[in-house]
Amino acid sequence: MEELYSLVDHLSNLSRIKLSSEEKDLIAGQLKDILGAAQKVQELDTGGVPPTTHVFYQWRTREDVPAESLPVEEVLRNVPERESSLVRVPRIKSLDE
Amino acid sequence: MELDRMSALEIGERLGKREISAEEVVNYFWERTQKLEPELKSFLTTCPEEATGVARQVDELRRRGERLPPLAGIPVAVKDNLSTRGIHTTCGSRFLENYIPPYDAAVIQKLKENYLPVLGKTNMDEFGMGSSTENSAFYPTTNPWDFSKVPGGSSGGSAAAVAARQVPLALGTDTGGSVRQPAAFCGVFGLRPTYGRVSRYGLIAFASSLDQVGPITGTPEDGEALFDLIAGYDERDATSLDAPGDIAEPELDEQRVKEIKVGVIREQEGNGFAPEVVESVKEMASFWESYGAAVEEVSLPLTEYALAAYYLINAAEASSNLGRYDGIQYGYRTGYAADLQELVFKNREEGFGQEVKRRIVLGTYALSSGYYDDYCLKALKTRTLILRDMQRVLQTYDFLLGPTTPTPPFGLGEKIEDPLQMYLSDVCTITDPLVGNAAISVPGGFTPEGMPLGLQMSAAPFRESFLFKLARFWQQRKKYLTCASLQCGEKG
Amino acid sequence: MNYRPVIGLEIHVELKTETKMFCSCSAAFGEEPNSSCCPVCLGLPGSLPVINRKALELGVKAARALNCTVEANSRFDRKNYFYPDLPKAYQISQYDIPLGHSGYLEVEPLTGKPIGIQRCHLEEEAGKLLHHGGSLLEAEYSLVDYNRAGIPLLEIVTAPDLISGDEAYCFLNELRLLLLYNRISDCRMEEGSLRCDANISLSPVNSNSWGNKVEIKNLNSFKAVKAALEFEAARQEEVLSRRGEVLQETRHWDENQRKTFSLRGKEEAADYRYFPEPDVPPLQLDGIWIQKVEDSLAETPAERRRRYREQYGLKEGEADLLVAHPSLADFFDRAAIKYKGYRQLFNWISGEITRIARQKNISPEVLDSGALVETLQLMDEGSINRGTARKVLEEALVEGKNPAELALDKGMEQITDTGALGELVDEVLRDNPRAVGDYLEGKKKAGNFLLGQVMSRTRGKADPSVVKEILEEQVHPRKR
Ligand SMILES: [Zn+2]
Repeated sequence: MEELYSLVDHLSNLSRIKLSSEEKDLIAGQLKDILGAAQKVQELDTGGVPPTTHVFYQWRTREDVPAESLPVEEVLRNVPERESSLVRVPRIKSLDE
Repeated sequence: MELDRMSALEIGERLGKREISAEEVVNYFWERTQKLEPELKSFLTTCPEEATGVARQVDELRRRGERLPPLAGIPVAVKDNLSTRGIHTTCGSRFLENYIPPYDAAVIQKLKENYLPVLGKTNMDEFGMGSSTENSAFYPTTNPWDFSKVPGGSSGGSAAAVAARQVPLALGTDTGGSVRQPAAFCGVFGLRPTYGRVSRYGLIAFASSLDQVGPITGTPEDGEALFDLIAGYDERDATSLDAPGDIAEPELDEQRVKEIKVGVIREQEGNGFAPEVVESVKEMASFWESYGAAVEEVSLPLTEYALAAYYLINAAEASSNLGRYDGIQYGYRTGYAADLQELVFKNREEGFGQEVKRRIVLGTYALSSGYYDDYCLKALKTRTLILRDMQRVLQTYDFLLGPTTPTPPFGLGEKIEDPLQMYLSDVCTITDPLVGNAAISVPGGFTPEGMPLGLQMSAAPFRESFLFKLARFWQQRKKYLTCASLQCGEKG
Repeated sequence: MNYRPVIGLEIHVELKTETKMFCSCSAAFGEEPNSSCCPVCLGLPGSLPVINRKALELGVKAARALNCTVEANSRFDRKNYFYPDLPKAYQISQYDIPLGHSGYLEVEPLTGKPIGIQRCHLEEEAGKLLHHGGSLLEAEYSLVDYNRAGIPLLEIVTAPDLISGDEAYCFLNELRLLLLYNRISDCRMEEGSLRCDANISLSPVNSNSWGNKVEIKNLNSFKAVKAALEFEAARQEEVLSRRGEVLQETRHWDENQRKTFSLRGKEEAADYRYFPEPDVPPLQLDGIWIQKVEDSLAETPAERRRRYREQYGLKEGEADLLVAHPSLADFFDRAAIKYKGYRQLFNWISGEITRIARQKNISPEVLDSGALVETLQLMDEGSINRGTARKVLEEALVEGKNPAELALDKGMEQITDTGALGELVDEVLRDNPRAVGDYLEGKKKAGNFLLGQVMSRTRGKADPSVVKEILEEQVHPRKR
């Protein structure tokens, strides 16, 4: 459980979601069950089997021809904080990518 | 005129003959929506003014003698994960409570081109994650047949709205059963199209390799008409498909039924399956048999693995798709944050509900270094095995038959505390998305308590037309009630 | 030196397309902030990417130009990370099946040394962050412009085959020329359309083991790459000579202090959670199409230099100079079709054309090579002199006029009638007896004065060499 708890902690960091300690407890518990069920796939022998990332598809590309972009006001319509036509974000502080 | 007793196409015919105006139709359904909404809560946003505008346009065009598409002027409800230009699109999430898209989804464009007035945006489980619509950040929708039951999910709002005839037509989206399962719980028709047949452009992604838009309607004919209207290749969706030639299938008559081979899925009974559900499948199996179709039991031995694979793929894709909700460009903003890092963490903490967080955490895990091969990759390989299995089976059978859900509609609050139980309720509907099949849920009778049961027919890619013909053949003979209006009328 | 530097480069170039990688917004540089954006490049919910065929073509072209194997069934993957300039919180990139791999580039200025190209792949650009109030770390807040988001990028990763800052510099120059001649990228570092990070470790001489690798970022010019690598090689050697340990880390180059600096704070190993992009189907490149793209490749810089030397008889330095400036080299090629005096051509291109292009701020790309050819032909026929030719050329190029007409219309045609000139010279000599005297006493200045007088009376139309001859003929008999 200790291990699961720190795993959830790590995943919460990776996915940028703050979780309260109750939430972590809850999710750690549920994750245990869910992962247990997900473990099911481990039972299958998939040696030599390629993954299916796209069930079926037709190969498509697009011509390099410009089309109208959105008007700037539309681009900024939902932006909570802006400065002229730029989107404002608070100080970034740490340098992680 | 009792419009709620008519199919969309019937209303369309009267509109065409100008026995009634589109504005009257919209008014009728808008009033009905308002009357039923306090109990049902199928909608998150309504837009009667825009709908009336379209209706007036339809009436004006008709006055001028123009020929319009068959569904022109028929009000439609669309799930709130389909982007509507200038109209709130929340995805059932607190995070997008105030988000207004600057563009229309491809399917919304098609509705507009065909003059269908959009009456409103329907309730859903947040980002499509759920099977009961209880995961909506705003309120749960109830089942029109019994307000203490869930309508299913995640397109619960759309299914409830159609079952209660707040609208005759609705669009839902199906990732692992989100059209079919609520259609089953609400006693209406719901189609999951072949992956790629309907453009996903503007459909807010949940799990990209599984998401599809599908119609929810009171009759199979309406379903096919609405499906034909939204289907087709779209150059803005690189995964959308050109149909190979004319794939409309001829009407099914008693002669042609004799040539059909039906496979009844063996794995979809027994443990976890309610007796009345199993019974309804048997009834349908003998129905086809009685018309001379060859009915056999067929095994999909990987069904159990499919559920695990489905949830892994689904969570992995979702965790990535939902990364964009950081609150910088749009969406939820927390009160105070000292820096960007804190801002993003808090926005996501406060803007997302439990189930969304759970899936993001699970998906992040499945994708993270050290676990990818064992979970995500393994799931994708499992998907290959399931696909091979399915292709083999569909060489023999024209369609597969099983229940849409293992149980009849459950009660509000009954499963919400146990996510794994909730996931298990998707067991019948996740295989088709994994392999790209088309699948339809049709009404399959009622429980002794009067709750609807749904039956599922699945067929090879591009066979939607065939499924609708099957559904029509079935419903013409069974005549199941697909409108829950009486119950609503009594209580509402 | 007891250690040998082992250097690899990671280069990003923006591809020269009209539109972005996955949407139809303009990819032009320097538009009004957030004016070249749509739901796709903003990463709005519900938007979907569609591959730009031209970007793919340029990617394949670059891969083949770098002698890479092209993967016909390559695919796109998502690279997940959070940063405010990354609207979807993932970059569509390529992970385990890059478009091109296992190539090399022979660097002629390094006597043809082949530098391995491990991979080159396509991806999308992020938006642009402007930090308000100094650097990233000090900024009070930042501003995002998404115009750049989604511009097609090609990432090129070299093998650790370079051994000095100078080699890195030469490699980058050669790579840049290769990309420029193939019109794959503008390669403008100042506009950010070419960026480079460098990896360097020291390996003890006579050993195959490598030390810890240091990644250097913030390199804003090829010279900075060279200087930073040289600094870093010296720094690491100094650390090792003290029996210290070189830390595996990312360091920033400070152009003003000309030093690399470690970024404080612990670096968490990034976990990008790559997985196949479900929204973009795997590539299915057609062999014939790939071949067609390959057939459209321009000659390499090395081939061009050789052609200039062998076919046109240019000296090595001259060929190098031309090839180093693609717009001049292209101008040369256009002109050389019609004009066979190649050395003359080279001189005028490296002189006049360069001057006019610079002074008038016009790219040689758009200058009319025909104007130079005609001007030179007029000069060769003796219709105009060198000085007139310069004027004719400039006007012809800047105003788009015909050199022959210019020469005629403006009365610039040279006076070649020696009889008429003789009379003029006689006049001048008679009018300036003192200068004649001085000249006969050997004062050169007086000669130039007399020449100037004649030239001014012809309003520059005479060939000065002819005038000089006549002057000489007529002045000496006047010696008393
Ligand atoms: Zn765009």
